[in-house]
Amino acid sequence: MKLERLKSIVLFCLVVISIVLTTQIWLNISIEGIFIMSENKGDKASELLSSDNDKASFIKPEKLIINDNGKRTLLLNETEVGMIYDRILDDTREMLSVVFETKEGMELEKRQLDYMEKLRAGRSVELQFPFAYDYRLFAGILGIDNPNWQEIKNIDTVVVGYDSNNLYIVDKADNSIYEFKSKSLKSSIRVMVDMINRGKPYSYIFLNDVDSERYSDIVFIPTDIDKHSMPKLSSYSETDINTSEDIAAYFFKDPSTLRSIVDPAGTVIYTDGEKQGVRISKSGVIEYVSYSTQSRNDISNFTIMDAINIATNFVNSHMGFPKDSYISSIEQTTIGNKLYSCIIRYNYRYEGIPIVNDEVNMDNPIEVEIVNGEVKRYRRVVKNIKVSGQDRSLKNPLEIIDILFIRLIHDKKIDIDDIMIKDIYLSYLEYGLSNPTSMIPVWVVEVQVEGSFNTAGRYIMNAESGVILSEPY
Amino acid sequence: MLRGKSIKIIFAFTMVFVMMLSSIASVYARRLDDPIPVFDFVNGIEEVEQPVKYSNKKLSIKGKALEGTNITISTYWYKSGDGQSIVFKDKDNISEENTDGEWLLQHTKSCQVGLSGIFGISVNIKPGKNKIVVEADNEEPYELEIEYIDNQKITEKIGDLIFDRLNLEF
Repeated sequence: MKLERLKSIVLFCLVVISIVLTTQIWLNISIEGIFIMSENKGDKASELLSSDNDKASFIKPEKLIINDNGKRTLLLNETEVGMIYDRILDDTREMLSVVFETKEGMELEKRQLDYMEKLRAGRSVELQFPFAYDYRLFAGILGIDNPNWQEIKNIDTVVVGYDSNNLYIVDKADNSIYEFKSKSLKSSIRVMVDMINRGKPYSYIFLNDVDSERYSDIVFIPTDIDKHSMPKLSSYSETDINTSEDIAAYFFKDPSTLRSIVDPAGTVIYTDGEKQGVRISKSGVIEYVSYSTQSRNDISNFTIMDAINIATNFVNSHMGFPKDSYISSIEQTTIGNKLYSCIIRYNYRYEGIPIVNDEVNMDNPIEVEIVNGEVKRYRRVVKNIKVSGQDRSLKNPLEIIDILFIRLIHDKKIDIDDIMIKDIYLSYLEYGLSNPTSMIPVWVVEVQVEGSFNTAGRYIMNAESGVILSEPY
Repeated sequence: MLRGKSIKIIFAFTMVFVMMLSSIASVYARRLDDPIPVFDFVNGIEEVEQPVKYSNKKLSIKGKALEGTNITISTYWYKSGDGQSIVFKDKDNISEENTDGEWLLQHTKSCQVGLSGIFGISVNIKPGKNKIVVEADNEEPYELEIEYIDNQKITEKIGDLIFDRLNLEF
């Protein structure tokens, strides 16, 4: 009888162990106390509140691609999959932090850029960043000041093999892919991808697989677009929602002491008469200028990392960031090997789709210019967006490319062999003068034309009809 | 006494089942699919070993052709003699697949290639043997045999087989 009871207990333990191990291996769900030591909760909470995490959240990919053994899809940061999207980003950031900090037990293999083809043919997630991040800067934004592997110069793309948990850093300028393998690299991305696959995502293809001379390696289009649709939106500018006084109050401690001027176009200008001023236009552009930044002859020591900190904190305390914001570009000016000024640009998306402003002078909705470690200029044109119309069907991107080729070849007399499609993606464009402003779905095609500068650039086409709404001139 | 025995049976069965599912998943989840070729009707199509092994229901067919070329893509599914796809057939009957079975047309999609010189269409395939026929004007049609292994269905099938044959009475 005692032996029977003992056998039952042993069997029960075996069942529990098998379930726990299976969940840990396949779902990557760790049960604290069983094989996993609990983390110090106090430390974790303070880490979440630190400014480093805030900065890290602004590193977002322009495209998050899931490669699944030949089937590919683009994962948008939409509400219904937002948690999965965030989890993939968090896991990738954590894996990158491990790579930056760990040398022991970490295997590194340097490969050529053409290895990307193999990564895309397998099971991987690919995070294509909006620009090539400086390696040290990227690590710095993640809170690691002195990262390992400093032979890597830039980070264009990060790929995670979600079966092996190998991490790949792509440096296109160096024609290299750095492959990292370690037992300490862990993620739950495979479970996230399984969840996405259950939702029957759209299939995509890379056009450079078919024609690498005419299409760049990031041209990625859906093949079943007939099932795809996007709603029409309408937008209110921040100047419609807030009064000029309210907006000025973000920038001045005591707005009642300010001088204000209204120009014939309806733009309101507030100034304290000596240090700073704010222009609030009717179209929704808000521009802050500081007159007191130091001159070119007096350069203080500041880094791009400092500039990102200053810019992020400044926007946070001056009207804040819209949802799904990310750093879209960093432009720097140096004088005598010292950083003099830096423009940090931020973009944001609505349901994972980027917004094209109707402001010709602002490609990105938020821009902060830092000169000598101080905010010199801050401009923003952020919209409050709402769904205002029924879903619109979308034209096949291949038809869009055909329409564009007709325009370039027949109307602009450009040789087809001189044209290269750099990128194509869906976006929303503010269209018309009504208030609220209509936002219609568009295809944005970025084109490079050999020997012609005025035809190269960004073409914006109505996603429903294919009509060209904007082109370079 | 009888209750204790039943609980033990359940425990033992659960353990074996969890471990079995885990190993099945590991075998299939880590397998790399064969690449689907680019159907290049301009420079020629690269020959691939057939049937191509694939584990996704959705398949993207992409290719290159001259402007104005009409492309027709047809998908066929192999229905074996006993009404099941070969994936679920008994091993002993595989030799009969060519004599008893037939190719059933599933879908046909067509498009015209524009100035981009590219076509791209996604099609769904069924578990088992599939055939994709890509036809272009004035060109020899290209046939590609694909064996789609639906991991989820296989797991379900194995589960069904185990449960159906077990007569658990508590």
